[in-house]
Amino acid sequence: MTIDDGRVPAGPLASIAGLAPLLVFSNSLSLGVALGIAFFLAYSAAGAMALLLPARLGRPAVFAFSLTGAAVVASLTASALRLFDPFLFEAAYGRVFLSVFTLPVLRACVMPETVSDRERAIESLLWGVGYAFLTAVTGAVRQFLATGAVSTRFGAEHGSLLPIFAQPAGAFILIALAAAAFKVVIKAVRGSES
Amino acid sequence: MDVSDKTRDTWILAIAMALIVAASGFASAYASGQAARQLAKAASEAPGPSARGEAAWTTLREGSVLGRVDKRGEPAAYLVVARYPDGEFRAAASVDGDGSILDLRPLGDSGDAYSKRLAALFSGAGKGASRADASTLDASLKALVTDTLETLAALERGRTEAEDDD
Repeated sequence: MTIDDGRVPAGPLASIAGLAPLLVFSNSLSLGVALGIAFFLAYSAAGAMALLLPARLGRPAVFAFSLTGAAVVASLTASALRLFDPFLFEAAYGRVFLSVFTLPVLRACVMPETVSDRERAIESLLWGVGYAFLTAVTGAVRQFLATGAVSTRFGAEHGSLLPIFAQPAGAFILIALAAAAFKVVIKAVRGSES
Repeated sequence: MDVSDKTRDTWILAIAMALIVAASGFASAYASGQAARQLAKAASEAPGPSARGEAAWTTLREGSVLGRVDKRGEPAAYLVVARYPDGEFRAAASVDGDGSILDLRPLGDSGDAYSKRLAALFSGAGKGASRADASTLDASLKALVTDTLETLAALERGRTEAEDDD
């Protein structure tokens, strides 16, 4: 599939590809929700710092402070997760810190250049909600496809339907199917407009 | 733009960030202590002979062994979290000095076939246990069980040797 071929917008597809490290590890609802929340908090912290820090610090310093802020927020999220469910923390803590290095968070750390970029902060926040939701939904869908059921309790997954969807390969299959479906929908919408 | 203003702002931000990082470290240490308490409680309150007394938790994270609960005058209990493709099996295993399982107590819900089979295999590997019946799941679980038993034996040998040195 050609990205940004004039018919399919590249932004959402590139962001999904940038989220792949999280989507690969999100193989159950509880893990997906934990990773989604960790991602959203890190993304919001990075975006807020890049927006609010004084421009006179310069782009490299703003990027470094925003990334450090996102890492601190990821650490606090991991601590909260540890208090909430120690078993879930043991399965997820390494992946929580991975969220800091995903493409959307790194992009949010970059200082907005123009006034119009700054005015799109709410839009960026909504995209963050969407990415977090996507991570959680991916976990739920993969759990359903792998076990035939969705459980809100971590470690209580039972049954076996298509076990490959619990493996990392399952995430890539799901991403490919979602990207293909997305392209078909966009084409259908554009076709109906013309 | 004044260069000294930029330097001053950078220093103020760096100090603020250092304070936030330190606060995050304290939060992490607190969460670690609370989680240790919860895990020690989970392992100690499982049905079985080791249900009394104050327990001290040590996080290990060696393969499927999450940590150890030490109780005065009782065999050490290890918290085992064995992950398989569709879920995970949690159990508290009491071991003797050479790492052989004396008693295994599954924790929480273990209703699926893999969990039940893992409980049977771990229990069957214990001292004085009768040989468990064979199952079609054994081939896929054998490596997991063997690795966990070897890890338990190595950890317990290390612990007893360290105690002897003291």
